Amino acid sequence: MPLTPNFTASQFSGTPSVITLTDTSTGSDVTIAKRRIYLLQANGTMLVPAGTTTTFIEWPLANTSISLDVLSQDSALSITVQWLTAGNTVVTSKTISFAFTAYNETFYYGLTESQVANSNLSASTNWYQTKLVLRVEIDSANQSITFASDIYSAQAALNRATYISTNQALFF
Amino acid sequence: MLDPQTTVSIAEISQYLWNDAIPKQNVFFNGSIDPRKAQQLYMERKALQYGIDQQLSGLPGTSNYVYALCGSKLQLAIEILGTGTGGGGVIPGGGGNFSVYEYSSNATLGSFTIYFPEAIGKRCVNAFRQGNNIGTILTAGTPTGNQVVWDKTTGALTVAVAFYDNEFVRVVVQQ
Repeated sequence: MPLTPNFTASQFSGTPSVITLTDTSTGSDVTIAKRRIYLLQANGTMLVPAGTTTTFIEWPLANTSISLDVLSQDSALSITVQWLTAGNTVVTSKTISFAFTAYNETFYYGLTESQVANSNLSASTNWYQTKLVLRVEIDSANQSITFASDIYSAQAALNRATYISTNQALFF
Repeated sequence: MLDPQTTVSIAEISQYLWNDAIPKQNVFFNGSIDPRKAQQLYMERKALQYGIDQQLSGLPGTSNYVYALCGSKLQLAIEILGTGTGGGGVIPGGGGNFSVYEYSSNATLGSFTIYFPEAIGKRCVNAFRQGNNIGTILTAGTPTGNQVVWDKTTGALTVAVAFYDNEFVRVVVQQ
């Protein structure tokens, strides 16, 4: 049965700089000898872990999952995984766009935690209006990806959200 | 404490209920409800969902907070979540539908059974057939003479004497 390529990506609140890819492909192809990852950013450049000299990341076939410590803020990425022969001929590939939002979602959760501790915060107009803007930007990023795989619009929304969370003293 | 995932479901329903209530209040009572209520529920429920997904600390407190935000729509939301339908009206003193319904149909020549799909699950109070009198209404077994058998699981009325062509048959049923 030929290889049907597929993979998933995940990110966790405690380690938001790390994204984890998991190969969920089915079938097999005896000609495949290696696997590579390309992380395309909205600015057109490839994201790689520190110290990597190529534009791609090698993903050994023996490992079903790989964790990459690459993010410094929430990012929208178009991720391409290639399955190649020993001679670097691409046998098959799969590209999926993702919005990685753990930095801002965790900050957003923290705002709700603050309200739990001090419910008077929600009476503040600024508090809620800014929190709502933050929610809208995170949702916008997710929808840009879900509806259009548009990493440019998603990144723009995430940048606006990041501005709020990294300048919280100005807003909350 | 409720399971946080259940709180998320209740909050989603409450959000809809508030969203539905706010414009009505604005029309009839000039806006006595906090107009941010539905928005608030959406915002805090999204935080709770993220907390559940990531198994974050403080989940019980957040869950209770969202639960409390549901406010006066809470009871109805719980009822809708439990039954999958609207809460609807309640009949004082009893509940349930005890109304009597009448259904009729025309039988096929030579058949012994006629079906009333609308009457499935109901108790047959009385039956009538144009060509013969009807005696005892059984709920099992094989009818003889003017007896009939009512099977409420299929809504079937079976007679001992075959129907004539296009014979009019009527059943009266109750819940």
